Amino acid sequence: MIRDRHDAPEQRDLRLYDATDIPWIATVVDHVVDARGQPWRILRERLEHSSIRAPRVDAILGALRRVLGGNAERARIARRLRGVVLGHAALDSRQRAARLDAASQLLGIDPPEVDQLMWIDLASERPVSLPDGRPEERRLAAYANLDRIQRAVRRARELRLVVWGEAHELIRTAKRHGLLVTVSRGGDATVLEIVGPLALFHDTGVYGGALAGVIPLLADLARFELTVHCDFGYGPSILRIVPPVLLPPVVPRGKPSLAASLARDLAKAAPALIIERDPPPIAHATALSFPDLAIEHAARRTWIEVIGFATEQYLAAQLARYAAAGVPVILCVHDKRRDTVTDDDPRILRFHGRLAAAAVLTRL
Amino acid sequence: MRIRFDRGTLVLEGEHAGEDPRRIPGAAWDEERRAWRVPAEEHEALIVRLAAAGVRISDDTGPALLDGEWTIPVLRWYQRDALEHWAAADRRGVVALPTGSGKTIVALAAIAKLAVATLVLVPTRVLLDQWARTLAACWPHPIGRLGDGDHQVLPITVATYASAVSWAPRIGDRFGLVVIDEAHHVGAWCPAEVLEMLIAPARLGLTATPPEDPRPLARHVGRVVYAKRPEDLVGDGLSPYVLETIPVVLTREERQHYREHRARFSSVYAPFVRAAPDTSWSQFVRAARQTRSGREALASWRAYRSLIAYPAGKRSALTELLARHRGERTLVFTSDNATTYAIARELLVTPITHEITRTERARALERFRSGEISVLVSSQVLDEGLDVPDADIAIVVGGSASRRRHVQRIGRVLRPRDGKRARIYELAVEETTEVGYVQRRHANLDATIGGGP
Repeated sequence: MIRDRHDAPEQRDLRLYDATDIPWIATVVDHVVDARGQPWRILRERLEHSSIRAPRVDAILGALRRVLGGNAERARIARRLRGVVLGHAALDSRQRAARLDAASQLLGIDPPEVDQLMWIDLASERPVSLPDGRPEERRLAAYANLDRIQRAVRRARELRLVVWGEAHELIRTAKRHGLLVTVSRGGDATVLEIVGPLALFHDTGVYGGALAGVIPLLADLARFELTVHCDFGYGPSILRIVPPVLLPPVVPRGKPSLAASLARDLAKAAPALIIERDPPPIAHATALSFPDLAIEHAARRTWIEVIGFATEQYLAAQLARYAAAGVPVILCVHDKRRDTVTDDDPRILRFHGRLAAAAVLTRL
Repeated sequence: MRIRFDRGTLVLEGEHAGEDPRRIPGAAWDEERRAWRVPAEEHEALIVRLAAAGVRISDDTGPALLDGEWTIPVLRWYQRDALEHWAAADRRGVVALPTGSGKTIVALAAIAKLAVATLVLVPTRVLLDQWARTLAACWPHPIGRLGDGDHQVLPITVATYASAVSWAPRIGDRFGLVVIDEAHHVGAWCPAEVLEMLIAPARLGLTATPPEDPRPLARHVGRVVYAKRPEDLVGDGLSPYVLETIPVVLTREERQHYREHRARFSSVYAPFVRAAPDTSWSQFVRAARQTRSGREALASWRAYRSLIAYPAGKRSALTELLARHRGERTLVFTSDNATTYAIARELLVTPITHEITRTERARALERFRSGEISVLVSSQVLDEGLDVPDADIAIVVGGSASRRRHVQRIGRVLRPRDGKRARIYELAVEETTEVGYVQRRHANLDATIGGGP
């Protein structure tokens, strides 16, 4: 459920798709199945005459395109045909037929097929195909919901996310997208305030795309509260999103994080180590720190936090927080000016480029 | 004072006694990283201010210098003038020259002169490819690309506006010069924040049509330092041209459909506008979607626009014009991609749209240059910036009332050649809203370039 509260007197409720929407989604899918082999524009024309409202049709067809994926093979065929057939303008039907006949003979394809295949890679012209059979309505609803939330978040200025449970990946993802994440404790939950750096200076919507990058991870959370501060062009709005929300499963990130690579390298270099990925956060007053690894070595447990960028003041504050919690820590800090040997504090490991497992092992 | 670049901002840290970043005007406190920050584009001003105050500066940022010989065509008189005016304005500002007059060459000369790492921002993937190819032909090192599936950053990098939004926070400290192509988009299509995230002190904006609101451009790039209109360059920088409007009549059936749909739309739109005269189109659409009659009105609006985009009369007029100019390089402009594909399908001519891949587009343009094909059809991709040399004929099958868009389109065929006289045809469906569009375009065009010579 999304509730829309803004300053204007108009109150609007935007609803995400759920089980009650399955019947009309099934009707859209029926049309899709009937249109197999026809261009997408024909499917659209048919749906325009159905009783289903256009935004709903758009949402489900958008989800379907996302589920169906790539068109590399179609594009290859179409490009080849266009390269052969298109040229000077064919100004009458005789010239046109002659051009198609010539291409047909050259490529061994029937002329009507040439005419059709030439455009099969274009969104409106490609034929509807369902290689995996009839798509499941709930799956389409989930992708449509994800798209709907992300569209709203793309207009966002900031996000406030209250999470009960694992938050490491959310924090990492937000930081990877260049965002600032302030983490605090709110009762038994973790509170993330997420903005872009330029938001420190003025109101900006430029980070909407980056903020939207966090949204797919909500699928892994059983309980959360997402508050989106955004502007749809008619003044500031606040959207609040809470479960249950039907969302597609989280797709694992392709490239491992620095912490994941370090964990792998450490395990390889010292198989006797017991390495815990994403250990529970360390609390101190209202703040929380999120170490990436906890390593047991010679009956001693050491926490490791990989920090992309830090000021000296930040490092001092982090060390103080861990010390106050009685937790031994190594802060791995990316810093292109200094290398690992120049720092005085053994709890700070500076690196530039790859974070070497050997350098970490010497500090344990 | 240590200065580091982080996520599109400069992070300031006092390293010696008395160095307190909070005293720097505009610095903001980032509680999360416990850091003082200023926007990256403040870099040069910040250095000057700190140096004047006698602060020792440890600056981790710094763009690379370029080496290698440049091969640049000899500059025309106005290109040379433009470059001098820009340099005199402290290497910041906008050069406004007509489409086809060689703005790119001004930028190449600026990059060569400064010999500093450069980021070129362009609106589209087509222009990304075109700029990268042009730069590669003039400079002996590889050119970086950000956009259209590429993500390689090199001392000279071309990026689409969209890619720059996500890349500027990471690479904003690597460039000393930023060139903004089609700079009238700054503040809209090209978010001003992209420029805020770059330290580049030297900034060159290129446009054929300076924006009506110059503030975002002036703030982040600079004022217009040099401008020439097409009439200033005709016979030297631009070809003379003839502009002809061809009236098109709907068939009886088309006219009936047009009137029905137009009436259904007006029955909802007119009272809405009467009740709220200051309402915007997007506000109307949002309101119309809430009711059945509103949704029908929107469907009728789409239907009649689609009808006048390419009715039978435009089909015959287009065929006739193409027959009249058979073999001459012709650009056909449409109002939408559906019409573009309809024309491509019927006449077997090459469409240029965002869906056509870079390789196929490049091949099509090469065939067009060589004369192997003589017609290209497009709704938007050919409007701005694309280098299509020696096109002689433009046929505007459909478009909007936008002055900027029309000037850009006309500019596509004004590239000069000995003895060339470009011809521009506009098809306008009589007794429809399109007549108003054409009149507004012409009124604006007359005001802009004084009509055809």
